[in-house]
Amino acid sequence: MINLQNLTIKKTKEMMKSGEITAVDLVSGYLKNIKAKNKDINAYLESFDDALEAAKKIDEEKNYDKPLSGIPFAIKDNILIKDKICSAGSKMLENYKAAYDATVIKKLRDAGAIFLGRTNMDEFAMGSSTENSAFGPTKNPHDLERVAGGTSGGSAAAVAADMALVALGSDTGGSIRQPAGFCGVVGLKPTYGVVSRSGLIADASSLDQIGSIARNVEDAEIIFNVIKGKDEMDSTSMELSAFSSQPSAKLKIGLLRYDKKGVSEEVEEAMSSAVKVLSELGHEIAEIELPHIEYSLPCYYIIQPAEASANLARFDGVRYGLFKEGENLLGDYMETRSVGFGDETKKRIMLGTFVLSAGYYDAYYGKAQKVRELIRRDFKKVFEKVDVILSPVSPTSAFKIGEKTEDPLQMYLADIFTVSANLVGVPAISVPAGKSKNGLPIGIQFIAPWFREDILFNIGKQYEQCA
Amino acid sequence: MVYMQGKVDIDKLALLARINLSEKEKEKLQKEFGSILDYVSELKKAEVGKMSDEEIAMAKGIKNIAREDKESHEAAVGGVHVKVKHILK
Repeated sequence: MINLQNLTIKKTKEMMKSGEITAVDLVSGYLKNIKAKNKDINAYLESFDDALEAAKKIDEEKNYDKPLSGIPFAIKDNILIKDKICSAGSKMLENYKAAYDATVIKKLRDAGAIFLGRTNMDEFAMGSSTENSAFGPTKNPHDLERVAGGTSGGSAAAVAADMALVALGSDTGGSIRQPAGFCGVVGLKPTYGVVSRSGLIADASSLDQIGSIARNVEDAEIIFNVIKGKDEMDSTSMELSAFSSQPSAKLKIGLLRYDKKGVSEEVEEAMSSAVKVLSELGHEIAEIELPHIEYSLPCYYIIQPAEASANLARFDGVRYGLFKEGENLLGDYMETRSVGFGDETKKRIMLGTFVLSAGYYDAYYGKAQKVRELIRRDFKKVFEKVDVILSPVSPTSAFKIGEKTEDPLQMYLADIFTVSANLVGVPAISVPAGKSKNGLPIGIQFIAPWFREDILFNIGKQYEQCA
Repeated sequence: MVYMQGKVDIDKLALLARINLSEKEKEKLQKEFGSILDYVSELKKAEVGKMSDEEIAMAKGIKNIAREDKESHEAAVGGVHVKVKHILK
């Protein structure tokens, strides 16, 4: 029996090449863990029986030379894998089978990756805790009474609990970084447009981005390098020019000035010790201000519901998934959507419909677009002075299941440090920064200028080696 | 108008959103809408000046992109019928 703890992509590939382990050993090990742990953690909605066959094929062909040969992945349940169910955590798509591979899946497949299963998430990627999944919340592997974070809670918990070596998630307002922080793993949200969204079930199209969840920064980088690139199926996608990512240069780090109210003491402590570690590494640290950042959360909770309400209009019982018969055609739509969507999804669709409705469009949606531009200019200005921004990932460590479900605003505040990167499109990474007194992981976040993922990998690797 | 005197017309909004809501759901949404709208209305305080749509960088150059129409369909008319390929297996 192989020890799955502390494995990385590099180490795993070396072990496979030298014959120390086979892809079948690896996949069987993870499947065994999934079987043993998933009933408690609920990270996976389904594990795939054909994962072992894929591993067997790799072993038979002794084909260990591709970038991700034999590497077992957990895939968030809103990324299409051909012929597998893709439910987006919703009753609406409970039995929906994907007709094609998402571009990122195609790229992973070509790189030799193996898919272990599809992971739990907040319905249609709306939430901050995975409690909005139609299939029950994902529990935090560090404390089963607490949330794993969300919306990619299943993917983050799977990696943290050795139920997958690495995972894919999607990030609309922090949905990769926040669960990664809560579960003590690394989560990367790439620059908007650098990874194709073709085959990702849309939440808010101007904010959504697919990214990697891994045990360390290097693995997140390896996955990113496989999935990035222009794709003719996504007109917003583009090629990323190459930068050197050798961790040598001394960087100017901007420490974000923020309202300490609502930020827990343990997060503050983690931030101070991160600052200490980074300055000992020789980086220059200066406080920076993003004057309009206080508007980022209200701005996000207008734009996100607006786009989601438009994107989710397609789920009306005609083309996809669930169908419930009503009295007439309008009744069919209304009944299908009433039964198929959960509470939070209904709320966001209603909110989006409101902010886009005649008479309110300019005051809400139009204004939010302008404020978004102000926030973008803030970032642009700050990045003229610093190479990278440092901030917390979340105001607290993982909260208790049920703690925030009755108060939507409290839940939305969990995203306060993460949404701005999505609003302006810059890349950001969440890196583990120790644990609280009661053993819960805390993450810190680095935010880099557009297309400078290399800076995130550089500083992230330096930090994790010393933290 | 779906919003009058600080209250949202949930029925009207539900019809626009094409969702049947139970009385209980309506009640809960009415309550939550109030606090969420108060919160997002903070944006009204932001001074954007006279920003035109052209100045919003993320909205610049956005256009619909369609695939090039180069592989046309086969002729489908046969006698008095329209013939199409099987789409169901």
